[in-house]
Amino acid sequence: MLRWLRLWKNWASLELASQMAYKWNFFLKFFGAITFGVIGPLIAILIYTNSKGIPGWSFEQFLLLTGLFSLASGLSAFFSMPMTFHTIEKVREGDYDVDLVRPMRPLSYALATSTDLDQLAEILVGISVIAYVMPKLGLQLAAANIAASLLLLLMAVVFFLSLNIIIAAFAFLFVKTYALIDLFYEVAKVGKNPITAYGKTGSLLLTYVFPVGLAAFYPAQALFGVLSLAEILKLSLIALGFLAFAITLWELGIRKYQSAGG
Amino acid sequence: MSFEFGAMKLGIKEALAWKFSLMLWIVISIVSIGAYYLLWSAIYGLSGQSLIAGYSFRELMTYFVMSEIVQTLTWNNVIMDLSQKIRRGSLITQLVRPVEFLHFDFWQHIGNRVMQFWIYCAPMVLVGVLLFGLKFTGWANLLLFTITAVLAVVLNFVLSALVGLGAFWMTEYHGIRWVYMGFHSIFSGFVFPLTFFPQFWQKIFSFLPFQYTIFVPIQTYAGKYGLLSVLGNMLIQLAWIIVLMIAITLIWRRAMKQFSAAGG
Amino acid sequence: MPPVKKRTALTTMLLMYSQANGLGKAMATAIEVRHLRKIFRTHERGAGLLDAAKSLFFRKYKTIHALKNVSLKVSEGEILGLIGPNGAGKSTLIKAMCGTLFPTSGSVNCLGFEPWRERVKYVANIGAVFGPKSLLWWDLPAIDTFEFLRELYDVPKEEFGKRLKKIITLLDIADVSKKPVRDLSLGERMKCNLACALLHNPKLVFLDEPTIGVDLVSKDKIRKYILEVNKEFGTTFVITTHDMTDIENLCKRIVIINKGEIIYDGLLEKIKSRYVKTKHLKVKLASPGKKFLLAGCKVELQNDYALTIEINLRNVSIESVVQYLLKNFKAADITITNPPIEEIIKEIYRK
Repeated sequence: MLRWLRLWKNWASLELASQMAYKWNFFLKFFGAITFGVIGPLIAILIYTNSKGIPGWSFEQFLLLTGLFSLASGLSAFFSMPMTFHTIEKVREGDYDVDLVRPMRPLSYALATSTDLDQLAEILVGISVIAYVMPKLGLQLAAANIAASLLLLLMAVVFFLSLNIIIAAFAFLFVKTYALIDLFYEVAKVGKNPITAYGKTGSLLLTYVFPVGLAAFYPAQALFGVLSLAEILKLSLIALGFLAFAITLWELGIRKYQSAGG
Repeated sequence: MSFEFGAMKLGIKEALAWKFSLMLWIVISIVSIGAYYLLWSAIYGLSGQSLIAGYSFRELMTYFVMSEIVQTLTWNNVIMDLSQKIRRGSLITQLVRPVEFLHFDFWQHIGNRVMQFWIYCAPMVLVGVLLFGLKFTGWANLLLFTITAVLAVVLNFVLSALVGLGAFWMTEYHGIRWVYMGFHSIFSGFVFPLTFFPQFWQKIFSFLPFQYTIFVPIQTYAGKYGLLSVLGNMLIQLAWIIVLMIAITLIWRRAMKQFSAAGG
Repeated sequence: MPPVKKRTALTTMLLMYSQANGLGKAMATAIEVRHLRKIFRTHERGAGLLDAAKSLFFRKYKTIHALKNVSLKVSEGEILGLIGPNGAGKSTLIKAMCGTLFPTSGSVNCLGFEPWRERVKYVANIGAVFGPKSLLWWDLPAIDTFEFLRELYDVPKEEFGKRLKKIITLLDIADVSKKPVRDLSLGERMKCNLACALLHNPKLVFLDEPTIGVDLVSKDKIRKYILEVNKEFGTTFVITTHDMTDIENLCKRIVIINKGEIIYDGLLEKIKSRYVKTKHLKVKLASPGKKFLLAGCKVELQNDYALTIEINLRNVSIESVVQYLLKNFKAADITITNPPIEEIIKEIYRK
């Protein structure tokens, strides 16, 4: 574990040095990412300035969802997005063997050598929105609430991480994967809206089958203090189960790559 | 004519090579619009009014479906292609005038778009009609829409080409590309109909070319403009195309002067 | 045949016999491959518009026998040359030995491991360079990547520092390793790649086309480096290459693989004397000369500026050809090349 951390730190500092070689480009990318990150809150503003909004959700509450989603997806992508893209690229070029000749389990190695500094913009947007909205929500925040929401925020990151692992696994299992990436992210984006808006079946699917409700909805619920301990534990288990599924798929994928060559 | 035709054929082949991705995009669009459908049903339900920002529920759904269709139609990868060619210092960029240089790429793009239309747009229209209540607004509007859409494809191409030329002055170009794409997706009306924005912003949008690549064609289809306005918009599209082409030529000359000597 | 030659042939045969049976000097085995078989199944993709549309509905599957019953032994400290035409199965064999590929049947034993079964543990003992692909950070100096690899292979700082210094001197990359990799020539990059492969003192190193596209000076340095490392650390090398000069300088023993089978496994000398019967002579003429006529030589091209001749070594020696050339022509440049490996292989196959 320590060795992994040291390796990650080494790689992350190389990544930083490499990005800094093109300072202007880096700052422009950052600005570009902020522009994209702003679209979420912008949609919230446009909805609420032109209509009464979503039933059961005030403007601030809806904005909170956007912020939580950005923060969780940004954090996860910071650690895992390059892994997904590099895996897909290397498998397409038949190049993945170089990574298999490393003295570390491929997934650990892939994650240790994956840092996406551009995600800092997304994380920043998420934090800013949450910081702006929290005081306006007037919530009674007990320590338990904060602990619960942090836990579920972590589970949200786990969810997005699992998504990235699944997509990377698909690179091994299927060939043309770029469009699948977009499909997954598009489905994940429905998590920006309260899952209750999707009806009873929708909510169930988005909690148990493709648990994108973990991305923003449930962390928000934890902040509002409406989740019981049992529910929080159940949700955490779902997240970890999803992760286990993702890792299993990855292992299957690696085995397929090794038997089918490049 | 065989030169252009050859380029178009290449574009068609290119699109066919990505056919699975394109077909998958239909699924992706269904998910995306489907989420909006459910969300907006709830919003309209709560609002109790039949019109929000001047759109009925059906009209808004029509907008979102058309937005996906027009966005796919007008999308291009020119900034990426151009910036890569410039970075690699392909000899072509130094010997050929920009019109000639982009000529091949343009026709290849057209070929690609023709294929896109059949693989994505046409099925998407069907999906829109069956699932989301896409409205048919009459043959007149359809015709006017087609003209504006074609102009929009050309306009977006030329716009991207101009932005792509900036790669002459920057070593890494992804930053500018992202910023441009971010603003483009908002200002063009792809993310949201521009009528949802405050008047102040709508005024600003009208001075920029972006809204003419997606928003204006869709509004033309929806019949939101009178005939005179529609024709006026087409003229503005044409004007932008000409202005941008002049800008491209000027910037190209500048780049050639500055970099030819150094050897690129 | 004069008696000396006879004895050498006999000795050679004995050596080969003894090597094949593990007699003589007790050399530990680094690699043992037994009856390795590898079958791939791919589907065909058509080329034209019609094919592209067709493949929407129909898919033709093809079975490729990449390796058919390959058996091979490599001793510790050997530098083995693995040659064969493209698609012969070289990369497949290397990947099986690296543990990144599961065989269809048969066994592979490297350094006491079954490579794909205990891959993560096994791989810490090997180094690999797969062609010009590299781990090196593009925008940063190679030395940063070296430090990263130190962390990855968990090599103690001091030991690493000493070894790195030695490698840098051998490859002459002291300045090169401090420049961003994007500013390096292909030769310099390959040298850095080779450094990467050996930083953690692996016992076994696989080099897949290590000198492809590299300038002559760097090629020479790379060869000397491999020989030095082999001599000093006893590192076993398995090298695939298309460059016969690589083979000639580095390998005493070669394995020729063609269409998934080993068609030759033995000393290089034997191949050269038995199968390299022709040489190609390419001459740049300073001024036009008379028609080239010499027994044992086939003129492939002759004009006012150039001359290309195929020499049959059975009928004439290179020395006599060059003498004739210099006596009758004004040559600006002369290049003597071996026939391409495909020709040698065709020859062997015919036998």
